[in-house]
Amino acid sequence: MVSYRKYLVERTLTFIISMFFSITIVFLVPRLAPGDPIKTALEQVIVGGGSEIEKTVEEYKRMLGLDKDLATQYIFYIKELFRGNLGYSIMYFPTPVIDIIMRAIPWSIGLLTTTTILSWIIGTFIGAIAGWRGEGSRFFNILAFIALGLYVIPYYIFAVILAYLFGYIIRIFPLSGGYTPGLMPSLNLEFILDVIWHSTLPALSIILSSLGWWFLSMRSMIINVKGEDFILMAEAKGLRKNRILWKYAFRNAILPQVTGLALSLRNVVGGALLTEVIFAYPGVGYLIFTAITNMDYPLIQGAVLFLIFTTCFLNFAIDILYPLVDPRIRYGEE
Amino acid sequence: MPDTLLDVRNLIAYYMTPTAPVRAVDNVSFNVTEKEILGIAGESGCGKSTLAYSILRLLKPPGYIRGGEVLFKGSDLLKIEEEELRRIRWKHISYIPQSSMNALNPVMRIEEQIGDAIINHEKISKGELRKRIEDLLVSVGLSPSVAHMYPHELSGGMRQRVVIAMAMALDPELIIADEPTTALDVVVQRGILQLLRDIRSKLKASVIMITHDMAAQAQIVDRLAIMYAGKIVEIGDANDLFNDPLHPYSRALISAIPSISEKKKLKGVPGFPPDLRSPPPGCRFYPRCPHRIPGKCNVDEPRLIEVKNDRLVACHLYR
Repeated sequence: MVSYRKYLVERTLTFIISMFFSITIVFLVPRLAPGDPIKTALEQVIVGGGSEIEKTVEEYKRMLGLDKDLATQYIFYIKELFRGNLGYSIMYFPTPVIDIIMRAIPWSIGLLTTTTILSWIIGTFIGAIAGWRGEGSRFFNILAFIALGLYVIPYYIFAVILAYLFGYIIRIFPLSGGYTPGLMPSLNLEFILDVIWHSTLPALSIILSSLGWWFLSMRSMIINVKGEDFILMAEAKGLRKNRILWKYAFRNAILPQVTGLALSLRNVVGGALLTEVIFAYPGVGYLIFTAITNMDYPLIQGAVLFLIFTTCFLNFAIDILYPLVDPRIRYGEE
Repeated sequence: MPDTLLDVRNLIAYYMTPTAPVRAVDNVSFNVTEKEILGIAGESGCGKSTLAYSILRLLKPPGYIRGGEVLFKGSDLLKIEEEELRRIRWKHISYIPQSSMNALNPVMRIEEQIGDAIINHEKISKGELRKRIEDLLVSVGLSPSVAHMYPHELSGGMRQRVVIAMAMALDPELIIADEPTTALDVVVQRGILQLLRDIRSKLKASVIMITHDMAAQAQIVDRLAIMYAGKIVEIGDANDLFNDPLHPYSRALISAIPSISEKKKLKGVPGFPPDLRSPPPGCRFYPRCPHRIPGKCNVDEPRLIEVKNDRLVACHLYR
C-alpha cells in the first residue's frame, strides 16, 4: 500500500502539471494568433471612420484588461480561473461563459454516459456469450457479422438514417431539440419523459455505432482466453461451465473492456458533436459548433479549457482506479 | 495382486488436419494399479500429453477421441454423462498441467483457486476451508500466507507447488502429472521431484507421471511405459526396465541419459520421429531402428506382448 500512495502522488503531480501547461497554452494561443477579434467584431457593427473604430477598440481593450502586459494578464487570467470565471460570451453577452457551459453539460453527460454504459453492457455480455459458444453457433456468427457492419458505419450516418426513418417517415420521435419548446425544465415526470423521448434517436445512433465494437472486442477476448491453460485447469477441476465462463474467462477478458469503457467515458463531456448538431441537441458538442460558427472566442476558449480539464481529470481517475481492478498493475515500482 | 484403478484399452486419439488425421495416440492400452506411480516417457510429440488429455476427456478440437475405453474403477470415462464426469474430475482424478505458469487464473487469489476446487465438490464451512487450504500449502513447503497472494506474486517453483497442492486438495485416487518439471530450472526441478516423492508416501493416490525427462522418471516411478510415435513400445517395472531395456527405442532412450559417474559419449537417437499423419507401415520405429528386420518389421506391426515377468514389449526381436 505504500507503493500505491507513491503512485497516487505521482499521478496527482502529473495531473497538476499537465493542467498547468494546458491552461497556459489556452492562454497564449489566441494572443499569438494574428488578427484582432475585437476589431473584427466591431467592424461588423460600426460603419465608417477608422479612427472611431481604433478608439472604441482601445476602450474595449482597457475594459477587458488587454492593454496590460502579458505577465499581468496571465496572473489575472489564472486568478479568475480559480474563481471559476471564464469570461463573457459574445453571442449571449453578458452571460458568463461558465454559465453557458454548465447549462450544456448535463445534456451531453446525460446522453453520453447513458449511451456509453448501455452499449458497453449490452455489447460486452452478448460478446462474452458469443465468444464462449464459439464459432459453432450460427446465430452468433450472424451476430458477429452484423456487429462488424455496425462498427464500420459512423454514428452520424445512423443519426441521419434514424432521423429520416423515425422522425420523418414514421413520425414517432421528434427531429430536434432536447425537450419540447415551452416546457419548463424541472424535475417532474412530464419533463423527464419529454427529455427521454427527445433523446431516444440521438441515443440510439450512438448506442448502435458503439455496440458493434464492444461486442467484437469482448468476443475475441473471450475466444483468446478460452485457449488459456487456466481454463483447461478449471475444466479439469470439474467446475460448471457457467462458473468457468464468469469466474475464469470473463474476469480475465473484461480487463481490456474496462480500459476501453474508461477511455470512452472521457469523451462524454465533449459530446457526440455530429449527433448533437444533427438533432440540434443542446449539449456541449452543439454549443462548440455554434460558438465556432459565431466566432464567439471567449466561449470557444472556455469550452476548450473545460474539455481539457475534464479529460485530464478523467484520465487521472482511470489511472487511480485501474490498479484496483487488475491486481497485476504494480504502480510503476521497479 | 493390487487392484486396477485405471484401465486404458485401445485408446485412439487423433487430430484433424486438412490432409490426414494426426495419429497422436494410436491404439494405446495400459493400466494403473492402486498406489503406484506409472511413468510415461517418450520424445516430444509422441502423444504423451494427448494421452493425458484423452484420459481426462479434455482433448480440444481439432483433437478427438476416435475409439477405445478409459475404465476408471470400472466405468468408462469416455461414455459417461458430462455431469457425472464433472463430479469425477478433481474429486477422483486430478491433474498437474504442463506449465503451471499459465495454469493459475491471474486475477484470482490462490485461496480462491484452491477453494474453488474444494467447494465445487464438497460442503465445507469457511473456517474449515481456510484451514484446509493453509494445510495444503504447508504440505507442499509453502508459507500459509501464499493463500492471499496472486499468481504473479509467486515464482515459477512456487506456482508449481501451488498447483501440486491443488491437485492433492481432494485426496484423489489418481493424479495425472503432465511434465510437472519441464518449465523449471534444474534446482527447482529437483525440489519439485523431491516433493512429488514425499507426497507419494503420504498420499494414497496413484500417479501417472508424464515426462520426456528420463532422469526425472528414474527418480520417482514404479513402472515405466515408453511411448514412441503414438504407441506404447515397452512397459514394465521401472528399475528392471532402466537396467535392461528390451525395445531398441527404449535402449536408445535410456542410453541417452547423461551420467556423471561414467565418462561416456552421449548418444542420441539418430533420425527423426515419423510424420504421424502417415506413419510408416509395420513398426513405427522401423526407419530409425538399428536391429530392423526388412520384410518383417516394415510389414507386420508388432503387438505388445509379455516377454518376461511383467514386461511387455512391442518388437519382433522378442517372440
